[in-house]
Amino acid sequence: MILHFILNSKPVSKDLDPSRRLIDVLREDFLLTGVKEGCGEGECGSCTILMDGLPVHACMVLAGQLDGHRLLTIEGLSASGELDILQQAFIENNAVHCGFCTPGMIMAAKGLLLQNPDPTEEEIRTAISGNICRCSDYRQIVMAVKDAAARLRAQGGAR
Amino acid sequence: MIFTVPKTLEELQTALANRSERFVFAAGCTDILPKKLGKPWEVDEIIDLTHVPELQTIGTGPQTGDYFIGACCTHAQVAADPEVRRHYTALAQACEQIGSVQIRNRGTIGGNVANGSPAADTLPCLMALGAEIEWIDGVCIKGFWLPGAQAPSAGSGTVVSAFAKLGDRDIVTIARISLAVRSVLRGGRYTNTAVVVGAASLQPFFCDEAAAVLDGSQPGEVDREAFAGALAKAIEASIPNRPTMPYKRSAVRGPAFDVLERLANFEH
Repeated sequence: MILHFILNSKPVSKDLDPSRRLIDVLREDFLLTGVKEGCGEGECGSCTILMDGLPVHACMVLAGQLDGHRLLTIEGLSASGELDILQQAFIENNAVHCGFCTPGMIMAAKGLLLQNPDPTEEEIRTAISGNICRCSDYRQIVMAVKDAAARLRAQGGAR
Repeated sequence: MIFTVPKTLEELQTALANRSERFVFAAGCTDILPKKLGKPWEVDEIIDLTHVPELQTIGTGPQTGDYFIGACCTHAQVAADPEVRRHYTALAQACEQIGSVQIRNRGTIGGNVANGSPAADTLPCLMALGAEIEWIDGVCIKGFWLPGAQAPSAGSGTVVSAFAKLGDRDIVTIARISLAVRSVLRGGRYTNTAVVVGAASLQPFFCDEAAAVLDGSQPGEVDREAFAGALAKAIEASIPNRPTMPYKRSAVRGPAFDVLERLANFEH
């Protein structure tokens, strides 16, 4: 099935098996391995990407459903060669330990900041409540998101 | 594998008429993909429902004033809808507590019902609110009709509703017990109350005894112990031999008190 969609700001037309999961397509066909598979059942959030600006699990989307949609993965955040403010904030706030959950965590935070540039701590915690980190400290992650939000507001909003 | 993507209701009806014997609907995929994980598909056809606009609409019907929620409206969409928040509050409260942000952005109200999980959060709300299902050819849920805020059953009163659930944790949790209450405030007192218990047994059920406790009471002055007691008895009767019965019979006090508080704090 030929599918047409936008992937990391670029239009894509590709012949894909529609019954495959989006996570497999992204990792195997597009080599976007920042999309991690943790649980494969929507519990851990490691495969979070943005679909039309909203955080979703890439393990919960079928390739055949992609027509007309806009996808953004962690790789798309730094497509220009510069790290996104969120990525920079995660590094500077020591919010990355093993790093497996980090892409999903950042994409969940990205989805929040696109809708709400000035979130409260409770809103940040709710936004990342579906993303599990087993080796870091959620306080540093929350601090990183707060920090990124403040920097984005200073620049005039999320991009 | 056949993957069918209807883009209109007519195309969906054609797809249903020509469907394979072993088929599955796909929308949010928050149930079918975890169930399939690590296994091959056991169907010959997938019918995608996410490209039919009528299944994603939400709004007031043209004649009756009833409110329509398309089967493929996501939980996030339902929770954010101003009319649902105002007039069908229990449903908005349930949808904004389902799973995580990611799940709410994908999972659909139609899928929550069709999947039929005993712990489905929208089911008790839809029952308490008097929702009716509209079908497509008796096979596929088109959506849900909720009685208009000015429906005859509401009379001159104000329809109020609330939802509460008990899970293993506060958020991203599967309900062990859920409660949906819908009532009509008339003359400052609850009337025509419906109480539905979810997740306690295999199917949600009405608890008329608990509803009777509310009827005639004023918000904030309901006999909480009598309300929780009626629910405890109903749970005991519904799952007499299940090992979790003693826990659920006792634990229902939590969501019972929560739902009463939310109902009393109801604001239009």
